Amino acid sequence: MLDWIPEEILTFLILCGQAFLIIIPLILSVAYLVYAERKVIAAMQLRKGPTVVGPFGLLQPIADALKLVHKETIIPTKANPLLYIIAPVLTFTLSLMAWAVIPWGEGLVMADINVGVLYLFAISSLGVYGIIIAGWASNSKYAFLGALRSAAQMVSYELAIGFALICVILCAGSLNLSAIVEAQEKIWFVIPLFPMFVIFFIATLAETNRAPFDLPEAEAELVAGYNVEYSSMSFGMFFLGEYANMILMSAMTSIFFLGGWLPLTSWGPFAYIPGFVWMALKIAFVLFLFLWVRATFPRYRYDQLMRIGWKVFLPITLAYVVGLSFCIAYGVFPETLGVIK
Amino acid sequence: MAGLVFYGLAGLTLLSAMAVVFARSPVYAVLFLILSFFTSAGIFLLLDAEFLAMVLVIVYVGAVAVLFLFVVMMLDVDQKHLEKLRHYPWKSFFKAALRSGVLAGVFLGVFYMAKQLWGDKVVFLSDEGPLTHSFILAAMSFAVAYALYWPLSKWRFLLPSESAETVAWVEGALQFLIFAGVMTYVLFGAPSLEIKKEVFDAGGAPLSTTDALSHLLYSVYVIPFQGVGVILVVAIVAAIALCLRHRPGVRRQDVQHQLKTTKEDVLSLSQPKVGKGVEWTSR
Repeated sequence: MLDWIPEEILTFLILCGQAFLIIIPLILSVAYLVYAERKVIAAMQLRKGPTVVGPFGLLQPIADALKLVHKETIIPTKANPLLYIIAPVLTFTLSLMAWAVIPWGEGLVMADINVGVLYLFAISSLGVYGIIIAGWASNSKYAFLGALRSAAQMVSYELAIGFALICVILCAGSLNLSAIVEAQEKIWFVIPLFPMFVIFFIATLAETNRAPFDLPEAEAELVAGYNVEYSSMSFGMFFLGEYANMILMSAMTSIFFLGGWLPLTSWGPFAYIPGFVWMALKIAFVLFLFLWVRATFPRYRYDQLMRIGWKVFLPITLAYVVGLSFCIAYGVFPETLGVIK
Repeated sequence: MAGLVFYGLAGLTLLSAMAVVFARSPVYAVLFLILSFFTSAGIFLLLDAEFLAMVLVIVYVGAVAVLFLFVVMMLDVDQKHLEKLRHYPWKSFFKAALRSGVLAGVFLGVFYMAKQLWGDKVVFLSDEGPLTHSFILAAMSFAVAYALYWPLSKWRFLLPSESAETVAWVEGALQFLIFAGVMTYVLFGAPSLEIKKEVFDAGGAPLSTTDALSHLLYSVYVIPFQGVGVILVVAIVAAIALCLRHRPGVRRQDVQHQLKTTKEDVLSLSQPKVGKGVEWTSR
């Protein structure tokens, strides 16, 4: 049927189609994540949240996006225009790039690469550039202070994330994301690696600059942090990127610790629910934790943030990696985990 | 197609590496450095070395360059000071390049003559000899390093202080780096090619590059690998020892102390008499 199209172009078109299949639901879910955030926090604070636009306020995110697009893009006079424009584009692009390797089911993945874990880790560690470049290019002291805070914070918490991932890799015996999910068929890694799961979750809060670690955009001290000078869609891109990163981190948590597309149980009707629905449910659960934490905890002080990253998480994760590799090498729990020998 | 991609990436790497040196603004220099890291990672990917590509991005772009950018952005760069950079001592650079080129040429000439004369008798000098490639690479890198190093003595004003001690430190460090680079090539460069082939051929199933690399690192190269680890630990300890200072009079948070504090430690109730108030007792 499609014989008349050259093969290279066909491959390219298929790749573009796959990319759209990922990006469009992602952006829609970002919009409704914002809505969910407002509703969930409202429920926790005994309010109602958005109710006016559409039934139950369901059209609120659409209205917000339209309003944002209509605003004027402002570039400060003394800013560095090139870097000022690049920064939000970079943040947004990076938040989309990582989705190429996320598996949604058995074989349901755009790029099934051998070093998927490292790819995810690399992309998420690049996120800091959008923020630090934005802070510097704005030529504003609040933006710059926010950017510096964020750079220090992200570099510190990356270590904890890295060591938690090493534990997962040790248990799964592979860097491939699909293989990691398949290794959890007997038991989800959240059970043997529960302390790592907790630390990973807290570190992802810090990595995505969410409460209680949202110091880079602490409104009481820094106005809004690195994006204070941005307006209209350039702000919108930061916003989209930040929430897409949240969803990405939740997807990573569910792949590494909650068994990805694997069902909770294969009993009765549950066996007929397709894998990507399970995956979406798990992502939604982790996202709910993100919102719950935001509604519950006050913001950390900066030195406390650094202390918990370097003096608490780093030694614990390091000791856990050493202990776990000892256990695996001497076969303490060879049967329960899908360790490749 | 792959060739086209390679030349694109290689050209971009070279251009951005040049831009690191010649960029006026230090922030742009760091950004170009990051670009060149990225294109190098791309070249690694072309070589099917996906593990190295990812590690390059994670370690250098994700951590090292962030700190560079962090520091460079906070530096109060004196533009007048930078102006001096423009007067790069090209003349002495070319002189040094000529000198080091002649030196490397003499090295290689002697080596090739020895190879022609005794190549079939001494294994050390034969085509299969472990030192052939590494020797050429070492001579070339020595020449380049010497050419770059020489003019540095002409712009000592860039150093933080012109005291003889600082200059000696910087020159010593540079000489050490050149020496270490040459020795690394000679000792580990060429032999690794041979051993790598053996490891790849040994197993029945084809190994992924990650597996092959880990097998090499933890079997053949376990001593240099652990040695690098020890050196890094020493460097970390030294860096902390140099920077750590306890300033007196700074209030620090001690979590253990906070947790141990009880109500009795911080709270006392008293019944003040009318007209007298509470008497202050220092704890």
